[in-house]
Amino acid sequence: VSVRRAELSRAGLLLAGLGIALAMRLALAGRSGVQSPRAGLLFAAGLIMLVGAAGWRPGRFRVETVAIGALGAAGLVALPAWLRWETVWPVSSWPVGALPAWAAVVIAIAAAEELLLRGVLFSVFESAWGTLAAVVITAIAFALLHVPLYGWGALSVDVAVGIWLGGLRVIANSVTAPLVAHVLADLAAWWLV
Amino acid sequence: MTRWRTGGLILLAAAGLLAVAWLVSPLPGPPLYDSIGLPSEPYRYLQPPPGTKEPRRAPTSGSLTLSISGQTLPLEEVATNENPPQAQLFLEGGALRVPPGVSRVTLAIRPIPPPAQPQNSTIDGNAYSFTASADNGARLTLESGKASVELRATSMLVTPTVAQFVGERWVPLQTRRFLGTAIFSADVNTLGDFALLLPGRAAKPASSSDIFTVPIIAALAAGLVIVALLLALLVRRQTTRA
Repeated sequence: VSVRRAELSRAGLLLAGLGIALAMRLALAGRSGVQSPRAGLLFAAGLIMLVGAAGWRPGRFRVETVAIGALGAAGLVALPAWLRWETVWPVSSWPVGALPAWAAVVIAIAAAEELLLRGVLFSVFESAWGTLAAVVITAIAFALLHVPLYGWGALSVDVAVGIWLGGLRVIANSVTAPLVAHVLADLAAWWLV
Repeated sequence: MTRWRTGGLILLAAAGLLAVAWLVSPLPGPPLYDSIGLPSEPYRYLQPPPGTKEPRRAPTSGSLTLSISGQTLPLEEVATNENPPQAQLFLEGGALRVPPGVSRVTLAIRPIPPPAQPQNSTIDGNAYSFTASADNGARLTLESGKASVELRATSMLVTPTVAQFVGERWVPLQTRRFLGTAIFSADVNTLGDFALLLPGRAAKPASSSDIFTVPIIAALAAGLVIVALLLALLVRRQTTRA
C-alpha cells in the first residue's frame, strides 16, 4: 500500500508539474499561442526537468522499438496524407529555410511529452493500476494538455491518438516507439498542412 | 495476455476511435495532432486600432492574371504577401465560370476600409475585397462549393467568424479554423467584401506583446522547480527505503 501511495504521489507531482509547465508555455506564448517556438522550447525543458527529477533513465536501446514507432507514425498520418494528395488543401506552403529550426522545436516538444507521459507517468500508473489504466489515463492527460492550444475541437482526436501511442508503448514495452511515432507524425505536418 | 496481443487490441480500439473522431471532428480536414505552426509576423492593419504597439506596416494586396484557354479556370490560389498571408482565395478547378470571348481573368485581393460596421460584433483586423474580373468586362460567376476565402485573425486567442458584406450588412458564414493557426476559412458562392467578426462591441487594443507578465512566468517557473525538487526527494526516499 505504501509503495502504491508513493507511486501515486509521484504521479500527482508529475501531473502538477505538467500543468505548471503548460501554464508557463501559455503565459510566455501570449497571443502567439502554439506558434511560439520559445514557449514550446521552455515547455519541453520543463518536462525534461520533471522526467529527470522523477528518476527516469533511458533503458537499453532496441532497433525494433524504432521500427514499431515508424509503423505507428505511418498509421497516424495515413489518412491525412491520402486526403492531402487527393483533395485541395487550402493552406500556403511554408518556406523551406525555416524547416531545420521548426523541426528542432517540434522534436523537442514531442519527445519531452512522450518521455513524461508514456515514459514516467505510464510506468507509475501501470505499476499502480495496470496497463489499461495507464493507457487511458495518459491518453486523457495527453488530450487535455492540448486543449488550451488547439481548443476542445481537438479533444476527441487527441484522446484517440493518445490511446494509439499507448498501444505502441505496450507492444514495444518501451517509450521509444511512441516517441518515434509522435515525432514523425508531428514532423509530417510540414508536408500535410 | 501477451504485450503484443494487448497492444494490438489497444491499437485496434484506437484506430476505431480515431476514425470516429475524424468523422465527428469540427476541425477542417483530417486534423493533425500536435505540432507548432511557424511564427506569424505581426498583423498589418489598414486602420490600426488604438493601443496597437507594433510598428506600422501597410497590409499588402495580392493579384493573379491568367490566360484562359477554356471556359473554366484550373485550380488557382491568390494570397496577400504577409507571412502568413492575411487573406487568401482558393478556387478549385472549374470554380470560376468564364463566358466565351474572355481571354484573360484577373483575381485580386486588397484590404479596404470596412463598408460598414457590423451590429453587435467587431471586425477583427482588416476587411478585404475579393474580385475576379475579365479582360472584356464580362461577368464571372462561381460554382457553388468550389471556392473558399481564408482570413488571418489578429491573434491566436480569438475565434472569429468569416463574414461577407451582402446587401448593406455583414452575413456570417460557416467558418473553419486550421489547427494550430489563426487562419479561418469559409466556402463562398460569390466574391465581394469579407472580414472576420468577433462577438461583442468592445474591441481590445491589439498588440502581440505577451498577455501575461514576467512575474507570473517567473512564479510559474519557481513552482515547476519546487515540484521537481519534491519529486527528486520522493524518488530518493523511495530508493533509500528499497
